[in-house]
Amino acid sequence: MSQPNKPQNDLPKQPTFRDEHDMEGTVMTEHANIDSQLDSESAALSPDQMMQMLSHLQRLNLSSHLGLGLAHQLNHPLSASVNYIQCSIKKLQDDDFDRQELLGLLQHASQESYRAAELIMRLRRFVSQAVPRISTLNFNHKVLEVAALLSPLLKENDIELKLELHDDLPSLLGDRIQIEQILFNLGLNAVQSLTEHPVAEPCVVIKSDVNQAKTVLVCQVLDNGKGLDPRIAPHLFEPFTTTRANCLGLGLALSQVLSDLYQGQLTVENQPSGGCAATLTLPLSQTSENRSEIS
Amino acid sequence: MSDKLQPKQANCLLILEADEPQSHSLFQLLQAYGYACITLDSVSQLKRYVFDDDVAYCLLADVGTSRKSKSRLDDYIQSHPQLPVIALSCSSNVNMAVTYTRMGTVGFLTKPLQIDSLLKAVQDGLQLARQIMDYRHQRVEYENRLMRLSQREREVLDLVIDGMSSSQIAQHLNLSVKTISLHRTNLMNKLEADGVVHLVRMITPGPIPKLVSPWQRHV
Repeated sequence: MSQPNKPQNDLPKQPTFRDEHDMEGTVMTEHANIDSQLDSESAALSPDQMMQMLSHLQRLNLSSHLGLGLAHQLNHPLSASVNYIQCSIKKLQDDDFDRQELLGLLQHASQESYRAAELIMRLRRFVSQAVPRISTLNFNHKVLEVAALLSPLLKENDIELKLELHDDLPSLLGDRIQIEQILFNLGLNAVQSLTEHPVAEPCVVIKSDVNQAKTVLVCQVLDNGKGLDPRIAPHLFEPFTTTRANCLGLGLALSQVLSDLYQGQLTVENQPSGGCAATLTLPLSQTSENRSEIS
Repeated sequence: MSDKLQPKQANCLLILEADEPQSHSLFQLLQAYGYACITLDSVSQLKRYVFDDDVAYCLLADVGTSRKSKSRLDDYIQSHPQLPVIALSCSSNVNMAVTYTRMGTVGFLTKPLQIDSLLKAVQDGLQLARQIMDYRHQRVEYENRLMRLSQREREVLDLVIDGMSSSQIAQHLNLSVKTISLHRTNLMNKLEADGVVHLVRMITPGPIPKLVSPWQRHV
């Protein structure tokens, strides 16, 4: 899990709160829109709005899978921060300290508090009920973001995550949350398959690549688990298809709908070497037509 | 008593924590309170650690890690009853607290740590560690003394502990009472013992000291 952590350090130490406020603004207007629509058109929601609500619900459901792992993850930086502060208090009480040393301790404390804040913000961003907003995205950053969201689950179950990211991907036009949602679904499927049928060295690989002409982005999520249940394979993308007791069975269905929005393709199949391979292809040359369709 | 042990004051806290910031912050905190600390990031590092026989160790271990490393840690704790352990956990899970308390840990603390309970647990842990160290030193000392005995003296010693008088032993071994008395005097000198009760204590090791719970102290 050292790979996904590294780029995290590149993030600004101080989280940018502006983005967050922006989003809350849009959340508010979104509510207002839906409410007025409900009143005037007797609960007739447009397919777009249904889609938005459904994908929001699924994200909320996804976040519930993080569960205790997330609480633990949050406890780590808070715990370190408290230790640093207690240590500074003790040094001040004893009136025996080196200015530089004390400064270092307090800086550590603040850094750890920001680490906690960052975790909360990442999750809030993911489950926020925002209207899709198209922007140019660095696909690899989205992979890292999802890796960070999944990391408590990975740690809890001793699953290794390998990232094989193409280091010169053209940027992608799209909605950040939609892309993350597809990736999260594929990642969570891989993790769940490995926790249900444990193997000796559980491992999830996420690859990103681009074709020679640089027109299609290819992303693969591979695991070394038991592979697809043959009974379920033909119905894989139908809603409410699941082998898991506590799952809705919406993950792949929704991911396919989302990738369709991008004229993309999503396939899931067993690897010859065992385990499951999910392949997502997204065309990169987005025309203005496509853009309006997504938003 | 003739075999007073030298009081040893050297203490050391072992911090077993995989998360670097938590490990570093706890190290800094405990050092500020004047404790010598060593940080370890895995059970395998703990297994490789070479313990100094004259230092009282207490282990502060994060028990909230993944299942695999948790079971490795549990095995280690159970196979090292002479090392006092303070369990640090992210969750205040009652079952977990009970499990670790039954394993004989000195404390079960939830993170973020409360400074008062941390210091209390560390004091308890190190106090117990010193008692265990004294116990271990005494056992080694007794073993060394017992090595000094001849085969015949050892035989007489075992019979004394069985509760036989010198004349009974003489009869049993087909020797004169005078010879037995001589053996007894010699073995008492070699063992530096001041009575039969002392002999019994040398032969039968008592249990490893355990933390006395607060409610037991008042009984």
